[in-house]
Amino acid sequence: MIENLSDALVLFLNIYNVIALAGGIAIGVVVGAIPGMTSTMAVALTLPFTFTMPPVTGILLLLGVYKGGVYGGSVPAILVRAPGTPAASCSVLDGYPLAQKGQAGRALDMALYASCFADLVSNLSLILLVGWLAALVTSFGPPENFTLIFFSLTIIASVSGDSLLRGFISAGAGLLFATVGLDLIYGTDRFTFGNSDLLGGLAFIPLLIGLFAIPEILNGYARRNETGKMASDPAGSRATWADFKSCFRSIFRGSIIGVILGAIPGIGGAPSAFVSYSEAMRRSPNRKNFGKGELEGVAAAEAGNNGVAGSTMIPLLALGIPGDVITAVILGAFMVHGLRPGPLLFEQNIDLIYALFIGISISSLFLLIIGKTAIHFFKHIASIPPSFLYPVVMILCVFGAYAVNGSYFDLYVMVAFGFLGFLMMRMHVPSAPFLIAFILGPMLEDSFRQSLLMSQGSMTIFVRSWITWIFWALTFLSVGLMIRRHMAGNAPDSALPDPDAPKEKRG
Amino acid sequence: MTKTRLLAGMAIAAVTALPALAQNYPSQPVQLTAPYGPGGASDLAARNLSNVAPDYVGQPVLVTNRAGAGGATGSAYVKNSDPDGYNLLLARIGSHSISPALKTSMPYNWDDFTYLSLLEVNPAACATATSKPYQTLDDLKAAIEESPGAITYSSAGVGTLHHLGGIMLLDELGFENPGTDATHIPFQGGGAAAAAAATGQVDFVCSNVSAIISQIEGGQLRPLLVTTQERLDSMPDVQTASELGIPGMEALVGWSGLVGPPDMDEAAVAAWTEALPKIGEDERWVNQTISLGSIPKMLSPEDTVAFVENQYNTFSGLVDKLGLQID
Repeated sequence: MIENLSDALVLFLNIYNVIALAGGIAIGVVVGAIPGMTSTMAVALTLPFTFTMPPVTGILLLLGVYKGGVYGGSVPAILVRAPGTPAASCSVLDGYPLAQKGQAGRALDMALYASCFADLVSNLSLILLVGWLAALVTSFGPPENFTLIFFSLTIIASVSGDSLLRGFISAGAGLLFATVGLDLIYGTDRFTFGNSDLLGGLAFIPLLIGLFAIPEILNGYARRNETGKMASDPAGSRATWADFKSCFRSIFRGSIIGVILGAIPGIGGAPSAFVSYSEAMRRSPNRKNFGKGELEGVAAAEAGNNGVAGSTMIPLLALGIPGDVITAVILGAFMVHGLRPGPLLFEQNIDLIYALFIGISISSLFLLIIGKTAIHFFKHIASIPPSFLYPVVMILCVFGAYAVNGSYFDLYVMVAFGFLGFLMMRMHVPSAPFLIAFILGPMLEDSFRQSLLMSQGSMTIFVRSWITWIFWALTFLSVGLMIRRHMAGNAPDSALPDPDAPKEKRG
Repeated sequence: MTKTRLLAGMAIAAVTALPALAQNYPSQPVQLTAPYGPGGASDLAARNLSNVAPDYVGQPVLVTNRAGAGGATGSAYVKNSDPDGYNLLLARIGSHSISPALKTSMPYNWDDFTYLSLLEVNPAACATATSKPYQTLDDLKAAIEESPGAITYSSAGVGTLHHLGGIMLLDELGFENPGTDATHIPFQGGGAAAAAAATGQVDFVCSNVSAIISQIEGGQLRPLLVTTQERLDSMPDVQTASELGIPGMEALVGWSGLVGPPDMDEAAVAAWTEALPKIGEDERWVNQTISLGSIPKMLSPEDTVAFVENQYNTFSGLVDKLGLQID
């Protein structure tokens, strides 16, 4: 063990490794901060450069880009309501209202602290619990995934805002649009209307940009004659130690949720952010302020999506299974160097694994330093008048939507959902439930149908293991609490004492 | 520079550009479309080629991922693009021989493209989780006979090598209803299909070897057969399909090839057919291909067409025989 560690130190202690890790994080933060440029793209574009590097350097570079990108996505989400990555879409909900209140710097700070803390927890879990979490992963099959996603769908109720009905309408539309494309089980076309551009389904990034960023730009144009919308000194605010302490419970909880969901193949950062957000909201005394600029909401969302950043490597390293697109690219980087992730890697190349672990464990610190530097520049974006800012954001959105698949069709998707989003905004239909349903819908449907194929149509497969029972219990608990709260909320003057009530006047 | 001179210059450039384009191919970067997402086998094959090819064709080769619909989105895009040689496609077994054989509503046929070369082949294997009781192919066969439909296999989606592999295996083993005697469970991508098999969620999987080799070496998957003509060096104890008496399975070989749009510009075809054999001898390309789990195999355009046609005919024969077409 000691011998392995010293070998690993020799492997790691090389200036190129440190440069690769820090450089990767810097690239990731910048790319993630551009709306439409996802961390997946950044990692894929970096991959060819790693072909000629030693394995540890190359893989640390990719991991740096990935981690930087996951955090970087929160910057435009907070500043201009244009999430840089899908996982950052949850950070829009409270981050953007905070920026509108003139607290952009505070929201960005909190996003960074929550991201770094969650990243650290995730990295430590990877290093210390890899064996245990890998065993958990192997007990997740389609029925377990189904119950997990089913439970996650109850989040829709918490992000629906004031009207549950509007939330359900929004979610229903999201589920419907998610069915476009090839059916996974039978391979038949659904709602493609003979258009081959629709065969692959509606692309996620253009839809995301359309739903969130475009309505805000349209809205800014519609209200261009109103004055005094932006609060003064938007760049000056900072998150304090007291802020961090008050959000700490949510950050910690979000990190754990991220670690567990990250370790399960195929779930990813976006659902994790939403589960963490909804849990934070459920337990907060300031519940009613969520979605209107609650700092804890930003913290929970960012902790949730960064919590997956380390644990997503668990199925890859321990079992050789890439859980998402990014780990699939990283798997490619291993293979290019003739290394096969999996149990054998731990036996044959343990020094390499430890060297990677050393690099991974200091990445959170690098992220903090680089993120802090980046915020220093980014936060001034909030001071730019909308008449200058929005056109630039619009150009980036168009560029980003096109760049994802290099397809003009995606631009139509962005514009169409931009108008839908604007319409929804004007009719006070929340867009978050739409998005959650759009992400979770296909996962729910696929795992449901896979399970029934496995059981030859018997529903008993959905209660086959203790994991399914846990998620059923959580689902009932969540729905029960929701109903109770809803009934309490409708009764006159019976609402829970709400310390933040006066702040709610902001429309 | 004044405006008139600029315009005049542009006009001259426009007039001279057309013939120059054909003679001096390539005069600008070549776009290579990988019809699947980043990190997958097709993406890596494309990036490996794009790393080495510029030394032989004299222009950068830029890889773009255009994923979706089992490779159909990216393939249709290249089919409909300009045949000037600046839009090429990394064709795969899934996009060019299985999907066209299986689906009636494809936006292209397998022979709509200008085939430039085969690049590599990926041998396939069928395997079961070590936690499952099937020690040999006969054990699996007996289990399927005992309760038709209860045995499951995973795939990377409809119309993938995994999917057709499962059906072919049952057909070769002599089952009457290869489409239903074992149940096909599609997953999103090859990684998820391998995971489902390795963790015992399904009973078996037929996959390209490179996607399941770590699980085999790690002791989670037990290989039952390989589809190569000779045994593989990486698992010398595993019998070939022919040894097991089902030589038909040998058609199940994954491949990557380089193709262009229909009626591609002749100068461009010539440039690539000259460069590709040299790339095939470049050590960097060969070593990278091998480390990615494939076997380098460059073929002439004619031999490539024959190879794909043969595979397409085998698959569409099976699909017709069993009535498996998907509308």
